[in-house]
Amino acid sequence: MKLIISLLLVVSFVFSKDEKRMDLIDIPFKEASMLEGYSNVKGIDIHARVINEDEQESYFDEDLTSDGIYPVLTRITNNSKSKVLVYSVDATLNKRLLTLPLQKIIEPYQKKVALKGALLGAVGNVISFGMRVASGADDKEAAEAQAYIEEIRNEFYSKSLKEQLLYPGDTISGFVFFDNKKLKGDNQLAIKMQFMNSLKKYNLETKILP
Amino acid sequence: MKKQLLSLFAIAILFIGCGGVNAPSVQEKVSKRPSMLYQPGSYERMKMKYPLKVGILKLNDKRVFPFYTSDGFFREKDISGLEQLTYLELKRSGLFEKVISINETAPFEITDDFLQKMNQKYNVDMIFVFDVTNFNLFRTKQGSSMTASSFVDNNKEYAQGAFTMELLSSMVGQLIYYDGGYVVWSGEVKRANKIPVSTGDLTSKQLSLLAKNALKPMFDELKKHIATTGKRMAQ
Repeated sequence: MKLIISLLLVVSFVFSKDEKRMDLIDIPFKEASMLEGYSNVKGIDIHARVINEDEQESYFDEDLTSDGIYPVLTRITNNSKSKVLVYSVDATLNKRLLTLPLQKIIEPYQKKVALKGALLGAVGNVISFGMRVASGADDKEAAEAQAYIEEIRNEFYSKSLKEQLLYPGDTISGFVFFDNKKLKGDNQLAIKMQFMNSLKKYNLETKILP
Repeated sequence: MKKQLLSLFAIAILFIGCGGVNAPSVQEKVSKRPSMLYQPGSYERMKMKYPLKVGILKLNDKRVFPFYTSDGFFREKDISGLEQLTYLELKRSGLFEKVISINETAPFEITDDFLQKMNQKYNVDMIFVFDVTNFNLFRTKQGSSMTASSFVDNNKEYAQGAFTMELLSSMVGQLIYYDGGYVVWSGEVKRANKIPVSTGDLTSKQLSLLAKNALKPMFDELKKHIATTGKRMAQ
C-alpha cells in the first residue's frame, strides 16, 4: 500500500509540470552597416548570417538544423534618401532556392509538441489510474499545450523577415528559412527590392556569413 | 479473469488520456462562414483628386503565412474579399472619376508595355497595384492559468486564463499613371485590432467585428494617404 501511495505521489509530481511558456530572446536591434561583412546596393545595406544550434534554441526553443532547416538572420537598413520596398517573401538562396513557407516549418514542430503532450498525458493517466482525468488536470494541460503551440506560431511570425516598406533610416531584422539539404560552401542570399518612386526592381545580394 | 479485467481497465484509461491538445470547443455552433466584408459608407466621399479612370488589379498575397493555421479554428481559403473591399473603398471615396476592378494580376516587373496594354484593353489612365503583407489572426494566452481557478461550461471543466485575439492587417500599394510609368502615389497602411476573450474561443460574429474594426480604419488611412500625399497632376 505504501508503495502504491509513494508511486502516486511521484507520478503526480512528474506530471504536474510547470506551465509551458517559451522563454526566448528577441532579435537584438543592430543596423546592417554596424556589422562586419555587410553589402550595399544603391544605398541599401544588407547583412546575413546563419545561426548555430544554441542560438536556434534561444530564438525558437528548437534546433531547426536537425529538422532540415537553414535559418538566416538578416538585417536590412535603408541608408538611401527614398523609401524602398523589400520583397523578403521572395528571397532566394544561391539564386535558385526559394524560402521555405513558414507554415511548413511550424506545423511539424507543433505536431511534435502536441504528440509529446498527448503521450505524456496518456502515460500519466495509466500510472495514476485515471486520477489526472478525474482531477481535471488533463483538461488544464490540454489548454496549456494549445496555448504553447500558438506561442510557437507567434514567435516564428514575429521573428521572420516580412515584406515591408522601409523609410530612409529604417532597419528591419528577421529570419528567412531555407532547406538545408541543398547547401554548398559559400551561400549567397538575394532579396528583391524596389524604390517606391519607380517601377524598377533590384537584387539586394550578400554572402551569408557563418 | 482478474488479470483480464485489470488489463481492460488500463487500456480504457489509456484511451481516456489520448484527448489530444485541442482548445476548448467553440461555445456556439458556427454554422456560417464569418464575413469580414462591410459596405463602405457613401457619405464619406472626399474631394476628387484625380479626374481619371483607375483600374484596381488583383492583389498579391505576400504574407508569411495564412490567416490562421491551427486545427479546429478559422482556416481561410483565400483573401479575395480584401480585393473587393479595396475596389469598393476607392470607388466610393470620390478621389477618382471612375474606378474599375481588373481581373488580372500585375507582373512582378511592371513595364511600359504592360501599362499601355492596360490602357488599351480597359481604357484606364491609372492602375492601382497592391501587396497584402499582413492579414493574420493571433491568439495569445495572458498570464498563468495553472495558478488560477478553473471554470465549468456545458458540464466540462476548462482552465481559466484570459486570451487576447489580435488581427493584424497591412498592405503596400502603388498608383501608377499609364503614360511613362509615373508613380503618382506609393505607401503602406497598417492597422491592428485586439480584444480580450476569456476562453480563447471566438465566434463568427466576434471575428467579423474584429476584422472590420481593423480594416475600416486601414482603408480610411489609405484614402487619406492618397488624398494628402498623392502627387498633383497638372491638367
